[in-house]
Amino acid sequence: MKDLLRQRVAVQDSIIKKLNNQVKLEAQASAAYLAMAAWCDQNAYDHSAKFFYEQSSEEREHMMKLFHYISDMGGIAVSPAVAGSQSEFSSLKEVFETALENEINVTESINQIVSDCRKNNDFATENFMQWFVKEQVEEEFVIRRILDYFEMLGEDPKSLLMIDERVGGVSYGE
Amino acid sequence: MHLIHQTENGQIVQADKENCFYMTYKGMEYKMNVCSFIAFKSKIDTYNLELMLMSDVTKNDLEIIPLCNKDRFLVLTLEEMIEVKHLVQGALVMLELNSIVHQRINRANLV
Ligand SMILES: [Fe+2]
Ligand SMILES: [Fe+2]
Repeated sequence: MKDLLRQRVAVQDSIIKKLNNQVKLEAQASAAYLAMAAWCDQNAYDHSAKFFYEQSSEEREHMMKLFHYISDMGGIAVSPAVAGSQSEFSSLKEVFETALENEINVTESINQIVSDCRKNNDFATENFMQWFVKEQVEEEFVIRRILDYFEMLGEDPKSLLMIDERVGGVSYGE
Repeated sequence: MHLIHQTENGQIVQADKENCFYMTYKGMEYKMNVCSFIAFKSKIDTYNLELMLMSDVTKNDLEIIPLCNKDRFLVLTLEEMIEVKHLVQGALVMLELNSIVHQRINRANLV
């Protein structure tokens, strides 16, 4: 009996399902960042707003990267339905704390996929996912560093302005 | 022709010459290539049977499932849905098993 399945599909169904779930997570992250950008705009935190607009489009790029991979491997990529995102925040600090929490969830999910790839000997997908592993290290670092500023400077209006101005300058250098 | 999986009212066979599958369910035959089979399974996977069972809404008693780019449709009752779901999911497990067998027996000799 021929191995028809392998001839058409390079990645196992169970992994495809997890990748599609990751597509959804990235889409949700993109929407969540957009809501955060809007909040920052409304509250005149211009640099933070810019930061979150950029994050939002990065998340969409992540989503598309996964989407194309699924399709290229012969799987069925599912355009995700995104639930409403949080748009009310009590402070700028809360916005960044929520962002970090989201990123941590995304990291956990990515790690889980890598672990599943190993269990299933799917080295190609594992290799593909390594890019995301690295990306998460960067993203978590940047947001953590910004949260450090809140600890260092406090949250009075002048400090908040200073923090906002520094947001765009944080980067992860290896 | 190789029998992949069967349930009480249905079966899925693989036709090596044509590189496709034939699903028969309650006397009807549906020809699917690998892509449409995978698409069909993804479609079936998205139905939450538990939710449909618990729902009071009568419209959920029948489901219309498009097949092969909407060339044909399956109209199934909930009971039939459960069976078709088992049929298709079971078939995929057997196909994956076949891939493993191929890998272990045929491709392992390449190294
Ligand atoms: Fe991401
Ligand atoms: Fe991210």
